[in-house]
This record gives sequence, structure tokens and C-alpha cells, in this order.
Amino acid sequence: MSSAIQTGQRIMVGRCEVHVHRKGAGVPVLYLHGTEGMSELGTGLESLAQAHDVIAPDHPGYGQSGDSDLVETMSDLAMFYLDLLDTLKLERVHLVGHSMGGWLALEIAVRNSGRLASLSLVNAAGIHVQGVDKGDLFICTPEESVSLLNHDAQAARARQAAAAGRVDPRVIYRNRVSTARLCWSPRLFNPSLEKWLHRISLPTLILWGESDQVLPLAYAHQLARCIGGARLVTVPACGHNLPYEHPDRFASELTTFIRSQVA
Amino acid sequence: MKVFMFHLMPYLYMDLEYQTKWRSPWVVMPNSEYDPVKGHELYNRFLDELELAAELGLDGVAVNEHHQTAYGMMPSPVVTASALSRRVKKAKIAILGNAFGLREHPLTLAEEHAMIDSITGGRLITGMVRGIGAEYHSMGANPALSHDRFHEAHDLVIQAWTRPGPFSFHGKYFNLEYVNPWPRPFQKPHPPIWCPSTGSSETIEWAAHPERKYVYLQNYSPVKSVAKFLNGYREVAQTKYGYEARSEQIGWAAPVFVANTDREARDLAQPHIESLFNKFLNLTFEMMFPPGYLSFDSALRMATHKKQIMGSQTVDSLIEHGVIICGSPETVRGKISEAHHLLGFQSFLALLQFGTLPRDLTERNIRLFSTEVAPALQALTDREYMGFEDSVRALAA
Repeated sequence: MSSAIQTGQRIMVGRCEVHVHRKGAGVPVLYLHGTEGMSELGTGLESLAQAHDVIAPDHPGYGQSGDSDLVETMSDLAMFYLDLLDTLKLERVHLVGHSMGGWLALEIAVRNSGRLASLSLVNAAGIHVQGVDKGDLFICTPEESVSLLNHDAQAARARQAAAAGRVDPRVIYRNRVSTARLCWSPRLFNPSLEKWLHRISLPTLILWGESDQVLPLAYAHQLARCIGGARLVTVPACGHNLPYEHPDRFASELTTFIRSQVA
Repeated sequence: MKVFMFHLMPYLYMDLEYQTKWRSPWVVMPNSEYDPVKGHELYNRFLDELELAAELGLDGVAVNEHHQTAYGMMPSPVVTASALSRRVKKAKIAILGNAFGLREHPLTLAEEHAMIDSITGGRLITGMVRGIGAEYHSMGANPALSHDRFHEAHDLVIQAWTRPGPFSFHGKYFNLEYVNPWPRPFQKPHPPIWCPSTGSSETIEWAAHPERKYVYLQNYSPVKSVAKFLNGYREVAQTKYGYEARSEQIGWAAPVFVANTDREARDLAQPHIESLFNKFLNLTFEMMFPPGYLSFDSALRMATHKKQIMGSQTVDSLIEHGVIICGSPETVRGKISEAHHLLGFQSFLALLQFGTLPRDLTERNIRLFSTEVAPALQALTDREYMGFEDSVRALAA
């Protein structure tokens, strides 16, 4: 299916200019990126865009988006995205979040799911499981973080090498600062979130790389316990960066899940 | 010039071969490596050393704050300063610095500093710092909010010391209905405030601001950088703020080792000073510069600066670049006096114990420095300073 390529849109949400990667046609899928930001859709989202209207903004403070003086915490960012949904007048949106973006998706859904049709959480942050330590994204060297984030570090390095030079080091640094602002402490979670997850009544898919060292599989099980009726799918030989490590599986699981909701 | 002895209080029994097991003595080295019995011995030895320096006529003793590291055993310099406050009778006690912004509740530090200032009858110097990057890992504080939080903590503390209480304080990070600390500081309006740094332009501009005029202290730097940053302070005061900075507003801190001859000083200092720079002061980039602690440009600049002082240093290169001052009393006097002639700083802090330097050598160093070097430095005034314009010209030449 051919689709109008609309990458690189810029929209105003309040006073903040947001850069939106948008591609494809069909039911809307809003993708919320993780801690590292995103420089492009990546093959997983490209595949998804063959049958869906994929909308993937750079969060304020990331990539080519501006800064928002409104966004200081993850709660603020969730409110900001409710404004963004209103601005784009999106209805029946399938919300997908990876890592920190999964946390953001949860914060949005507990606040107002009026414009949402489903929720997909991919190796999602947001809660804390007592006794199960998370990996520290901030103290490791760039080299070590490749091993921390991926099951197959060698393949990840090859992907990185292919993308080298495409992203401005200043953008990478700004992304890291924004992630620290949102996620440093409490590390990758909101202590008040878990107790409200029962309010989520959206069809929910929890998709998890089984060898995630940042958010071990116990986090997937805990989320599944908190969100009634959630469907848990785990992917073997896959780390935290599921959308990049297994883009085909990422796209096919989401496509299957979203289709089952639309039908 | 006022001359101080500065102490870091390292856990000098650290296994120097740790690099096969852990990447750094900061943040990640397990505290099972710390032996409380040895800690007891070291704390008392180090306090003795500072007390000795004060007895021998130095103008002050200085301590600082670092968390969860063998580099320095003073997570609370308030405790160290308190322990000194009754034994050190005349000298100043300088906390250089306390990380006010790292605290959940900076008002407690305002109270504690006011207590020490009262006990000592106004001999406290308060250092205000953000803490180095590693602190943000160790204390769970958010590095991206570091500047903001530090400035707000500063405002709260200054108001607590100077505004009649009770009053309410409502900031972004700190909210209090009753700010009304008892005691108030002994000194009026409050203890002098110093800002130690390795050369951040943000710190210099902030310290030099006419509302503050805080003392800027340059530490751990090649003498060329000391010149650049101390003159930078005078320059900012003049061009940005339109006033002439006094020489009392700038200071320099450096490791110092004195022995009978240059050769003896170099040979005796070597293993210990190299342990400081190559072993204790070994942090990864990610520990040193967590995201947001510095701006992108500052982080790049500082990474270059750190390469000059961290890892694979030799005593000879450290002496050559003037990062440390090591030699006979005459040599040490000469080097500091020469730097004073050029830069005019009115405070000098000598780190007289460093790395693994043992008790006997430290004591000898303190005695030689205090009796053979310090008196000559204490006599230096602005009359021996060439002046700012000549200094800028001399450095450009």
C-alpha cells in the first residue's frame, strides 16, 4: 500500500514546537519514544506504517522538538501529550510506548483515555518492583550501554555504526539531559502510578524482550497483574531495545493486536 | 595573604590495585573495602594534622564534602568542622564546600553552619558548591536540576541568615511556612562565602556578581589555568559588573610538598601524589558529568581539562605544569610568591596530605610548610601584586 510520506511535520502544542515523524494511512498509532529519543522511524515503525497512520513525535526537549517550559516531570509530559492529542484532533488512537515512552503512555492513560483505543507497552518503565534492580543507564559508558540495552550487542554495534554521523552529538546530549530530568530520581518510575493502574480499562498489550537488563521480565509480570485483561507477549533473545532488535516482531505483534481491536 | 591547610581525608588504605575489580573508588567501590577500625585511626590522625597546622600559625584549616568514595571520608564536613571547632582556637575553619543543593532540606545546613559560627565566635567560612557529578549518582539527586536547586538552596540559606524570622519561603524545590533558625550566625551578615571550582565560567560569573562578591577558589589546575580563571574573575567583575574585584575575592588551592631539597621533595612525594591523581581521582566521564550537570560546551571543555589532571600523571609532569608545588622551602616560597606577583590572590590553600602520604611525612610537610613557607606568604599584600592590566599583558606575552 502506498502512503503519503509526511515525515518532518512541525506542529505547535501550546507554545512548544513539536517535530513529528508521520507516515502511512489507516487507524492512528501514536508512538512514544524511549530514553534515547529517536532520529528516524526505524524499520519497526516503517513496517507498521504500511497499514497504519504512524505518528511519532520527538518529545519536548528531544530530537528536533523545542523545549517546553511546561514539561518538567513525567506528569507534565503526560498532560502535554493530552494537549497534543487535542491539537491533532486524534480519535481512537492506538497508543504505543517503549521504555520511558511506555511509562508516559501509562501516565496518559490513567489521566484521560478518552481519545485512546488501545495501549501497547513495550519494555515499559513507570513502576518499581521491590527487590528487582533496574539497570543504570546513566553510569555506564556508551560502549557498556549497548550491552545493557540489547541482547545482541554485536548486532546493535553494527546498527550504530551504520547510523554513525547521522545524529548531532548536541542532540544526543540534549536527549540525555531531558531523560535525566524526567527519569533520574525516582529512577524510571513514579511511586504514585502503580496504585492507579486499575483505572486503565483499555485493551492492553504488554510486549517484552525477555533478556531486558534495564527492566527485567518481572516488570512485565507486575504490569500484567496491575492492568486488568492485559495480554503479555514475551520475545526471547531480545533485550530492552525490542523495537530495534526485533523490528519485524515488534511490527507484527502490534499489527495483530491493533487489528484485533479494530475488527 | 591568608594561608590555609586543606585536607581531603582519603581512605588511604584503599587497595591501589582496585582497577582489576572496580572502575573507580567513587560510587561503585564496595564499602566492604572500608575498615571502620582503620577509619577511626585515620579520622583522628587527620584531625590531629589540621590541628597541628593551626597551632603552627596558619590562618585557617579547610575541609570538604564528598560522598561514598575512598577519595575523601567527609560526607558531612559539618561533622569534621565541628570536631575541629573547640580544638582550633584562633584559625578560621573553612568548609569548602558543603553541597547545599544536594540536601533535601538545606535549612539544616544553615542551622549547622550558624552553630559552628557561634561556637567558634565567627571563625567559620562557608563554602557553597553543587558537589561534583559523582555526588549526583551517590545521593540520587537530579543532575539536570543541579544549577536551579543550588541557586534556590543558596537563596533560602542567605535569607534564613539575614531576614528576621519567622517568614515563609516558597520556591520550586523548597517550601517552608516558618523560616526562623535559632541560632543566627555569629558573623554579620553571615559567614564569608567561598566557591571552590575547577574553572566553570558559570560559577565565576555567579560568584563575582556584585550582590555576592563571593571568594572564588581555583583548585586542581595547571598554573596556566589558575591564571586564566583568577584573571577571569577580575575580568568579569570589571567588564560585566563594572567594579574592581579585590584580591581577597580570589584564592588558589594546590597540593604542596616541602622537603629539604627539591630532589628530596620530588622523590618523597612521588608515590603519594601519583596515587592521588592516578588512583583516588579516577572517575569515568559518566560519573564526572552526569547529564545536565554541565552544559554541552562546558562538558566538552571540562573533559579536556580533566585529561590534564587525571590518570597517568607523573610527579614530574605535575610539578612542571604547576598542578602541584613541590620542592625545598625556597622553591615552594618562590613559586607561590611568583604566582601571587602575577595574580594577586589573597588566599592560598595547601593540600599538605594527599593520597597515601603517611603520617610522618605529612607531619614533616606541615611543619616545614608552616614554619619555612607560610610566614613569607602571609606577608604578601597587593603591594607585591603587579596589578590586573600588567598581569593580562604578562600572560599574553
